[in-house]
Amino acid sequence: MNLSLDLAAKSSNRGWTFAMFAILVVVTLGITFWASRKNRTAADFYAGGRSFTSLQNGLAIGGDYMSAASFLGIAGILALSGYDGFLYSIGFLVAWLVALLLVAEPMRNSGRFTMADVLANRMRERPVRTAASVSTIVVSIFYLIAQMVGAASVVSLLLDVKSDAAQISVIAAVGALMIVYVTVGGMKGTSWVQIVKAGLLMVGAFVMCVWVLAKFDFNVADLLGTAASKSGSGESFLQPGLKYGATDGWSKIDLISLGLALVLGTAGLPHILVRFYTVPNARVARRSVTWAIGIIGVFYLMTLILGFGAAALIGSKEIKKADPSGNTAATRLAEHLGGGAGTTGGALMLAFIAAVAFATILAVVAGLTLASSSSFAHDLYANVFRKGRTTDKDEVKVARISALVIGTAAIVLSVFARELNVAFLVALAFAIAASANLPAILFSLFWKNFNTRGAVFGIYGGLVTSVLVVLLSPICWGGASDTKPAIKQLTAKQASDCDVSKDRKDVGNATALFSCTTPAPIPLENPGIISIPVGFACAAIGAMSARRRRTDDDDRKFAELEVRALTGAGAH
Amino acid sequence: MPTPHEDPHDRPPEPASELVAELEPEPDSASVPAPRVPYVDDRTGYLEMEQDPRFGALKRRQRSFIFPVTAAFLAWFLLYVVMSAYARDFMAKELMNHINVALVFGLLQFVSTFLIAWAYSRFARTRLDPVATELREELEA
Repeated sequence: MNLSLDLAAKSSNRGWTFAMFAILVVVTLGITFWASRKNRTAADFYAGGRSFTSLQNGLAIGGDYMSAASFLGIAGILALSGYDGFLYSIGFLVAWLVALLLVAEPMRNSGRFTMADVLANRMRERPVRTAASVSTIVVSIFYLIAQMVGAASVVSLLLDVKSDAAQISVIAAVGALMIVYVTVGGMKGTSWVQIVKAGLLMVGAFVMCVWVLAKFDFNVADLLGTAASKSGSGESFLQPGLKYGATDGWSKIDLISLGLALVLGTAGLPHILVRFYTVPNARVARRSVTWAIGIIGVFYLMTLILGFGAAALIGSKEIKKADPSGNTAATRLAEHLGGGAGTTGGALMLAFIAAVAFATILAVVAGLTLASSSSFAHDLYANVFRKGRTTDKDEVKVARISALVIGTAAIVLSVFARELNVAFLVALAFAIAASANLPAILFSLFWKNFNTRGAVFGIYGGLVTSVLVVLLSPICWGGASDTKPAIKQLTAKQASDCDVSKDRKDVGNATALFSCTTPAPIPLENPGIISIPVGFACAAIGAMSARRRRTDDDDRKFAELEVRALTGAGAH
Repeated sequence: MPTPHEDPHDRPPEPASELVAELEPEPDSASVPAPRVPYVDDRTGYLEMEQDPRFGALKRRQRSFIFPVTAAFLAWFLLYVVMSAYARDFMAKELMNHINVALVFGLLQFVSTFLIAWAYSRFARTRLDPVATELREELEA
């Protein structure tokens, strides 16, 4: 293809993609303002009036949960490293059983708006609400930065604009939209954005999936075989190990660590937990989680076909050329299915899938902003600072202001972090959720001897340990080791990023945050295998070491919590 | 909301009022919606319900499902992850036409997740919900 034709194709692509983005923004803003009409009470703002049906909430959970990382990211890992992308999907799905069996129903029955409500039932409110709120806000901000920096790079790839100014404007635009969704639409608006996104994502993935399979006459073995041969890795493309656990023993432990954080983190993610409050009762909460399991499971099965399809139809090398992380695999596949680069069909498909990815990002960041601002307003402001002496109206006003503040903080942090490799922040958010939030929630619900000290120890212990392990990991210290073998030949960009000469042979991770040449004290990128046991142990030791003996009053509170959690009596 | 020390449920137990609650519904429970107090108080009958053998049976029935099943699916998932890390030759075994053990094992995780979700929903609907509803209605009457 000659240059002028190439440029024309690119600008027509961009035109379609822009148009789709614009339609999406208009539709979601319309929904938000429509939802804002009935946004009066705190229950409206925090919990969408608790009026969602199980299918609606199931879709919204899917929309909240399936981030751009899991759509574009997993499809990309599958297309480049084959089978190992599947490990992610499975962890992300199995995790929902923890939410279904242990968390969703008692949470709905005994809480009101935030995770901390459940803990505050039987503990001293101020310390546990403070701890839960700190952890909620930290998890949300980390996750937000990962999503927004990811959004900047994905959207600029999709629109094919790579300048610094463009990246900053994408971050600012995504941030501004999420602030509007949350402050104007509250939980109702945010949920509908998530429902629309989940619908689009499922339809988009389904169409592509059938299309890919049709190209192979619905012969899956043929698809797998072609993917393996076009991947450049042969049969090992279909086996675990290309990406994870490829070097020494530590890298295998790292893989298990990742699996643990994924499976135990989901039921502790604040933006997921608040979704259980948006339905009328625990039964609907249960049914919405089963819907979510169906939706999320089918979606991850489809990404398997999309990722392998991208490898088979386009080839791993081609995909890597466009973007080394593989994030554009799904959109390239869409373009290919539509007829290829330069065709109207290709441009339309590309624009549609790009818009789906954009919707995905918007829905997830809105959910995170809402969860963290709810926790700030309901836990810190109303119950810690004002000791409960506030009105609903006042609380909602503070929630809106904190959405604005947290959203703005996330924009500013993301602008500063945009050059850094922040993909690890998603795994870190899951690890904190699993090591700080989950022990506190489970012990509060099921362990009679648990107490305030245990909850506070568990939350801070899990939080600090997760962050500490990452600070000592190859993410921050990139020196070559057995786990992270040296990069054979540094590129000019890597060398300048690291501030070393190109012929250095001791750089293992060129995107390390602190130093590229000092080896990491802890060779694990995923803190879960250390931080989750530490979190649970801190919670247990904290509870058992309390000087204050359990009183009749504690027993009474626990009895009430048990009755309420299981029967739903007195639920909000 | 009162500070924790003034919290109504921090007061010592009041057996008398509990008895009253047994005889007739607390008259001003309707005029005190107390949305900010997570617990109403003893007079709601929660404490007594916790001692009720029917509640004990319901709790045991629920836990004898959710705890073993959670242990089982976590172990099953961990087995999958551990084998993906350490038993790569086994996982790489081709069963037929490019379909290997790893792929089948992975798909089985999907199948088991769907099955457990379905089984739990059924169990909860038929074995837990009727009893829970009965007890809740009793408490709220």
